[in-house]
Amino acid sequence: MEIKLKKISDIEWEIPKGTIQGMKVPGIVFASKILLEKMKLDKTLQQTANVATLPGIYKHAICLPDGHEGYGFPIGGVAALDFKEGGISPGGIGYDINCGVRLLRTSLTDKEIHEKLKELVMAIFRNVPSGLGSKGKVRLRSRAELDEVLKIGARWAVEKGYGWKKDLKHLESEGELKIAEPRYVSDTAIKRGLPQLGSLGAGNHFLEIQRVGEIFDEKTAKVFGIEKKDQITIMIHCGSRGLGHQVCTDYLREMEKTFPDILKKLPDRELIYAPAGSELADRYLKAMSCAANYAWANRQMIVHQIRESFEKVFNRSAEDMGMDIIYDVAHNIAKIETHKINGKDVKVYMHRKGATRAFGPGHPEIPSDYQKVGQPVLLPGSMGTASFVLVGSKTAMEKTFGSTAHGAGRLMSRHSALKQFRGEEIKKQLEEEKKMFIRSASWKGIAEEAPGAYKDVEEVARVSHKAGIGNLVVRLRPVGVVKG
Amino acid sequence: MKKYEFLEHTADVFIVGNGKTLEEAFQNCALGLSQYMVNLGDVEKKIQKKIMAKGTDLKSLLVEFLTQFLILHDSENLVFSSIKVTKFDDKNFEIEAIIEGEEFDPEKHKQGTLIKAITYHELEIKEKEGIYSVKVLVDI
Repeated sequence: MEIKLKKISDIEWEIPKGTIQGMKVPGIVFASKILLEKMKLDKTLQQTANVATLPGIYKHAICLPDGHEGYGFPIGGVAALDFKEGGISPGGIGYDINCGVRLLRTSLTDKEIHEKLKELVMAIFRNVPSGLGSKGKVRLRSRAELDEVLKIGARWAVEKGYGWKKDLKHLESEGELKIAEPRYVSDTAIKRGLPQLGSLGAGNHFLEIQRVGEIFDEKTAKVFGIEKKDQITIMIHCGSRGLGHQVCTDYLREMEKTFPDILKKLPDRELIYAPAGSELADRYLKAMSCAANYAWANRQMIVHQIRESFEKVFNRSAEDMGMDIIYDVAHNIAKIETHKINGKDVKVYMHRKGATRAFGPGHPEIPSDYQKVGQPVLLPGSMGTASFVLVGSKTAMEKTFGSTAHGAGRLMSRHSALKQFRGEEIKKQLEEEKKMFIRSASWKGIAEEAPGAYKDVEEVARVSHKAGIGNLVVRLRPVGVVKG
Repeated sequence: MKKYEFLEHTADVFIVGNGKTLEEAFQNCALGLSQYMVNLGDVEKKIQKKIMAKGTDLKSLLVEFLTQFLILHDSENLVFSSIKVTKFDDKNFEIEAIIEGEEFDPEKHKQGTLIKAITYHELEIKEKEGIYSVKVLVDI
């Protein structure tokens, strides 16, 4: 079905209320002409309209510049549902709960690591388990042990010696959703999660050594610890592994069974939700928070393994190399947040699926040292292209409930990518033309994640900046890649 | 008739299983799932497992059945090359199968792509001229 859009500006489009039956609010799409044309190729806009039918939804269903077709919500979808009249929907979060991005800085420069790049990438590849069947090096033996991780997230990892206490201050929610209750996570999910803590996984997950390309906003960059061009940073992209996927699967099934009447009325089966106030909404929120905590602990352990790799290769301490965390963002998550809506503070189930929180300056949830400038937003590109650091803004608070894009967004199916690209050739091309070094667990993985399979991250970042919902700070260029 | 096929989707991939009966289509869809993760030809039949799944309709039965393979992969690091459905009850929506494979070894098995979850998105179960097809989108 074709969705007719009303133009608000060159980069903002409205899906009017009434486009499909049952819409309670309009949809709003942040996209340039080019990005919009791509959204029209799949069900992105239709799914945004579907989200607008959910109960208790405020203002509008939002589709961000990197939006593409997902399950239930589009990926790049944002919705605020009332805490009392709305509900919580696993389809508004995704299977990989708290899939997210973390950025580390160093005081090293591109020149200083150049000669050792290959050695460094290989050391990280050996140290951080990745690919199919990747198991963490820590073996948790029992549910009781894993429950601790689910309860306190990244803090568990730091207490066990994986990282520094100050790391926690620079994580979204300090890497710990306190409402998590492990007893609501099924034994099956636990079984999937036990062997995998401290592993990268596969698919679009990666670790990247990057150099600072351009600095757009020197003042803010400095606050984030980015001082100069060619400074080396490290980006981590991964999530809650099998545990999070199973939590989503379990609760989708239970919600379908518990609320057949809701299911019947929905435009899409995967928009199923648990109504606010129901016992199931409460349990899902607490189980989902456990998976989010698992993901933060997972990324924390990977940070530790990366620091160890650098220490070994350069024979210097991580502290000496200035390997602090800039920030960590979740881009598949729901949280209880309070937003100002029509002048009133309103408590909502904030859904962000393939979307990054982008809180503006002065928000109490931002670390004290970033209070004046706003929250760092990490926007990873596809393999071989640039990534960006943006900063949250007051405009984002008003327009998008403090949210912006989460990455490049896929353009081509994995299947066509496999037909069009060969992993070996992509690797050779990137290494020769861009002087990068790549190590992947699978050739197929490289072909599926070829840069040509994604939308242009530059365009996504540009639109975010132009809309003022996430402003440009720094462009990062890839130097070395470890892929799952 | 191809046993299984992979079809396009922007972010992920559809796996289609075909068969002369519905249970054969389910079986072949699971085989396609295994092939997507690892080259089936490399997998020896060293370990045998019995799996069971239960649904509330045919669609959920398919999702539950395929999810069992992801659970075994994540928790026990197993990959499979042989799948035989031993019980298929399309009234009570129950399925049982004997599956054979071995522990995944990156040195031995050419790896494909890890599948995170089985979705309901555009899930189809149909019959045309005596050929049953099931189509499922997997999250990668």
